[in-house]
This record gives sequence, structure tokens and C-alpha cells, in this order.
Amino acid sequence: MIEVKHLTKRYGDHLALDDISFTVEDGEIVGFLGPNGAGKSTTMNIITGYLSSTEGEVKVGGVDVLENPIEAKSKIGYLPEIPPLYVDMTVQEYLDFACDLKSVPAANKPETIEQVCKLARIADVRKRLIRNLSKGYRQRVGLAQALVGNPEVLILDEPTVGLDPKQIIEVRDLIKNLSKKHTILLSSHILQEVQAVCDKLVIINHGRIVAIDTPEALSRNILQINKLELRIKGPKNDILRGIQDLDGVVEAEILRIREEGTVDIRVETDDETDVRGAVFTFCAENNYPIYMMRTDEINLEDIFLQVTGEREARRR
Amino acid sequence: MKAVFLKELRGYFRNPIGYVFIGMMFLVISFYYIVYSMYYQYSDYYYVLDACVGLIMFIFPILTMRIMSEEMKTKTDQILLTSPIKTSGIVLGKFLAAEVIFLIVIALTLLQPLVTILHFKGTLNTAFTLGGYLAFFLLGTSFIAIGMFISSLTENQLIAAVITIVVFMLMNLTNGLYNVFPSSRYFSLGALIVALAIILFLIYRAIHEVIITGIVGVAALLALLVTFFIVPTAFDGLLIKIMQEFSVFERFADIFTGVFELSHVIFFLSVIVFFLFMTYQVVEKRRWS
Ligand SMILES: Nc1ncnc2c1ncn2[C@@H]1O[C@H](COP(=O)(O)OP(=O)(O)O)[C@@H](O)[C@H]1O
Ligand SMILES: [Mg+2]
Repeated sequence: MIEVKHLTKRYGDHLALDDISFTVEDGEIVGFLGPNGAGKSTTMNIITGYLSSTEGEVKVGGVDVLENPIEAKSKIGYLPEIPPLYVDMTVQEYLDFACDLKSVPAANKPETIEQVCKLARIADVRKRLIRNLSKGYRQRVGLAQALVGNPEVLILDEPTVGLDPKQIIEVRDLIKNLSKKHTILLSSHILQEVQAVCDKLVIINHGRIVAIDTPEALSRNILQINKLELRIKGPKNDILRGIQDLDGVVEAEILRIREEGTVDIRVETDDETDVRGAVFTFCAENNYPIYMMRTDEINLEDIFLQVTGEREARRR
Repeated sequence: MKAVFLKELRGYFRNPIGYVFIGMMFLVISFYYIVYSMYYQYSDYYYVLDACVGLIMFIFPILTMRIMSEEMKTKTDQILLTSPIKTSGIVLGKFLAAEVIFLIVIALTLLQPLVTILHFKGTLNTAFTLGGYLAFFLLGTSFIAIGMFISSLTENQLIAAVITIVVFMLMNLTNGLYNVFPSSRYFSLGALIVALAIILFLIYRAIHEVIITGIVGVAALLALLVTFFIVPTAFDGLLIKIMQEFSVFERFADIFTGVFELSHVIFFLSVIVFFLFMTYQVVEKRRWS
């Protein structure tokens, strides 16, 4: 549905995108993942025809965005990073304008607006000036605008950024809901955010594609079970020594004392060993209750290090 | 185009800009009307239209400064440029909305010559007044096109307004400066070479091609020099002629001298079309930057 081939974008001397290629199949929901400045917005702006690429081509539904911009754009609903809202309009007026831009016939306008308001859950603020809406509502008005005309493809640039946790969950549910009827490309700089909803992840860093895979495959690669953090109740030195003696443990150290009578320990094992079972057995035998056990936070930086590291290793 | 046009037009009455522009224009024109028609008892209304131009050129930037700049700043241009509509429709829609605001001003002033007719019992020179209105309309529309073009160059409204005022002032100043320039052929040649250098610089900025810019430059320079040596007399007073030819204000003043020429109308229309086209180009080219 979306084909991106060998995209390169230069801003003056700065190479923002370096030979990017990926595809989004019909009905797929694809996460476009990368830290700030990776080139996500630039890519999305090129797909939607807001920017032109220095090299490469983009097709949406088989239509080349450069050669036939009007037809390509009519297939896309776009929510840019900063929702393009006219703050001195009411929500109703804004969506009415969006209908005009997308050539929704006048007779279908009320129904269309009704529908997108229901989907984006903004029906209760239709009469309000956009200027007076909260960040969460504004984001959803932007989303409603993207839904006008029922486009086959939705391109959403960091739709949850700046929202509070409750709003994030709402928007995520909404996107999951939309994915039944639309092909979606969704960008984010937070892995957990796209992991749950996406069929496929495209990971980008410094303008280059680092990995394209399913979330499961990616998390399997990057699950860091060789780094644990434990909180155990009991005599701290005995516990530390016991854990250091477990098979496969490379390093164990006391991090801090958080709760009365317990100790926080960081454990690192060699790559082959999952030490969690052994920790349990050891603690159970000595009657040291485990208050907490968790693997290190997985973050994007780790993924990049890991994926790029692997690729480099393969090359050697 | 219609959607953008209606949205812009509504916008002028949402924020104060539409009212401010209409109000200030009407105030200035009425001031001259009171002075010329009431106080000095001139029976010809076109004096009013002619005289107020020196002041109203400072008011037009209020109308034009935001036309393109504002949406670049707020990023709302993203919804326009990613919608299935033509860029030319966006530019035209915005232009026509500003034009309607200007037409409202003109409509509001129509009462003044009517009062003059009643007051002087029909001695108003109708042909001159209509000609004056036409000139006024063409000049104002050119101001809008030029101001809109300048607005498309920056996302800062204030900078757009200042540049627009400076450009209008320069246009007006050169009007009286012709006599200052020497009419010597060497001076004309020198000025043309300087102008060529500026044009080449702009071409280079636009296409970033040293070789093409160089070839164009050398060819144009050779053409200039060869012409100069073959027909040097053609360069006598050439600069002044060119400046007069291209002066919006000169043309405007000409219409009032009574001889109505189609070439003047065509000139203004070319200025308007040229700057609309340039605005379109700037919007299209920005995507490539
Ligand atoms: N208009 C611009 N001019 C120059 N550089 C830009 C412009 N827009 C973005 N960049 C640069 O391009 C890179 C990619 O930016 P962007 O696509 O916004 O990243 P992301 O959306 O992933 O945070 C960044 O290094 C950014 O500084
Ligand atoms: Mg971004």
C-alpha cells in the first residue's frame, strides 16, 4: 500500500534520510520507531507530499506521490507531529473545512463529521473553539481531521506525544480500532508504545533503517534476561555471596537499601544463562522472601546498540 | 480553491485584521475626502484617490503580511499542502480573499463621489472618477500580490510587513529619483551589469548550479557588451527609461493624466500575475529545500 524506495533527503549539507526503503502492506499497521531527530517526521512529510525527497520514490496505493500528487494525497489521512489546527475555528468549522479540502460532497458532510467525531470521541466539544481545548482533545481533533473522507491509509506522526497516561491509552485503543479498516503507519520514539499495536516495526536511527521485523522477533532479540534487579529480604552479605555463587553469574553487586531489612542487588550473567529459576530456588531454600525481580528496562538505545552491533558482527 | 478562499475570508473577520485594514483604509481615504472635496471644494473625486496612495501603502502590509507567513509558522500549511488540492488553488484562494477585503473598502468609499455629485450638482467628472477608481483598484491589487509574495518568503509576519513597507517605499521613492541618475550611456551599462550580477546571484540561490549560472552569466554579459559596442546610443538614458517603464507608481500617476491607455492596465495585470506566479513558485520550491 505504501512503498518507500531508496529515499534520501538532504537539508543543505545535512543528510536527514539516507537511502530508506520499506513497505507497508494492505491492512497492515506498521510502527515507525526511532529517537528524536532520526528522520521519522521527514519521511512522513515526504510520503504525504509536504516535502520532496532529494532522491528516491514513494508510491501510495500504486500511485507515485510526485507524479500524481492529487490522486496519491486523496488516499492519505495525515496527522502531522504538530496537529495543523486553526485555533480560531470551532471543531465543527474545522472539520467542515477539512471536508471541503478533501472534496467530501456537501450532502455527505454532516454524516462524515458525525462519524469522525464519534470515532475520535470529540462529539462533546464540537461547538467549542479549538483554542480552548486541552492538548488531548486537540490531538484527537487532528486525528478526526485525518479520518475525514475515510482514506485508505493513515499516517500518524507521534500521535501520543505530550498526552497524559490515560489519554495515551485512549489514543492507543482508538488506533487499534482504526487498524481494522485502515492501513496505518504510526511513528513513535517509545518502543512499548508501538510494540503492542503493530504488526511490523521499522526502526530508524540517524536517517538510516536499522531493522525491520515483527515486534515479537525484535523483542526476542533484545530481551535482556542477563541483567536482573532483585530485592530480597534477609542478611545482605549472605544473600550477595549466595547469588554470586550461582551458576553463570558474572557479576552481582548491592545497589542500595530501599526497604527495611531488604537489599537491592544487580545481577549480570553470561548470555546463555537465565538465572531467574536458580535465584528462586536459592531464596526458597534459605527462606529469603523475594520482594522484587525484574529485567533491565529495554530502551531504544539498547535496541540500536544491539541491532547495529549484530549487523556489524555479521559483517566481520 | 473555494474552500481556502472561504476559510481565509472568514478568518479576516475572526481576528481583527480585516476590520483594522478596512477601518484604517476608510479613515485615510475619508480624511483626504474631507480635505479635498469638503474643504478645498475640488469637484474631482480622483484627486482623493490619487492623494491617499502615499499613506495607504503603509496600510496594505497589515493585510498581506500574514497571508502566507502565518500558516508556515503555525504549521497549518501542512493540512493544505497534503490535501488533494492544487497549490495554485491555495495561492489564488488566499489572494482572492484579500482582494475581497480590498473591494469592501472600495465599495465603502463609493458614497463619497455620490455625495460630491449631489453637492456640486452633477459637475463630477465621471470618466475621470471611474478611471481613478480603476487605477486605484489595479494599484491596490498589485500591492496585495507583491505583499503576498513577500509574505511567502518568511514565516515571520513582522519581517514580512517591514520588507513590504520598504519595498513600497523604494518603489515610490524611485518615482522621484529619475532625474538624479545621470543619463550617460556608461552609467546605464554599469547599472545593467550590477543588475545582471544580482539576477545571477538569485538564479544561483534557486538552482545551486555553478556551471549553468556561469554560462547564463557569460552569455548575458557578452550580449550586453556587444550591443553596447554596436549601438551605443541605445544606452543613452536607458536606465531611466527602464525604471519608468517598470514603475508601478509612474503608471498609476499616468492614468490620472487623462489619457487612458490599455497598456497601463496590461502592465498592472502583468505585475499581479507575475507576483502570484512567484508566490506559487516559492510555495512549490520550499518543499525541495
Ligand atoms: N527544515 C529542516 N531544516 C534542516 N534540518 C532539518 C529540518 N527538519 C528536520 N531537520 C533535521 O533532520 C533530522 C530529522 O528530523 P525529523 O525528521 O524531524 O526527525 P524525527 O521526526 O525522527 O524526530 C534532524 O536531524 C533534524 O534536525
Ligand atoms: Mg518528528
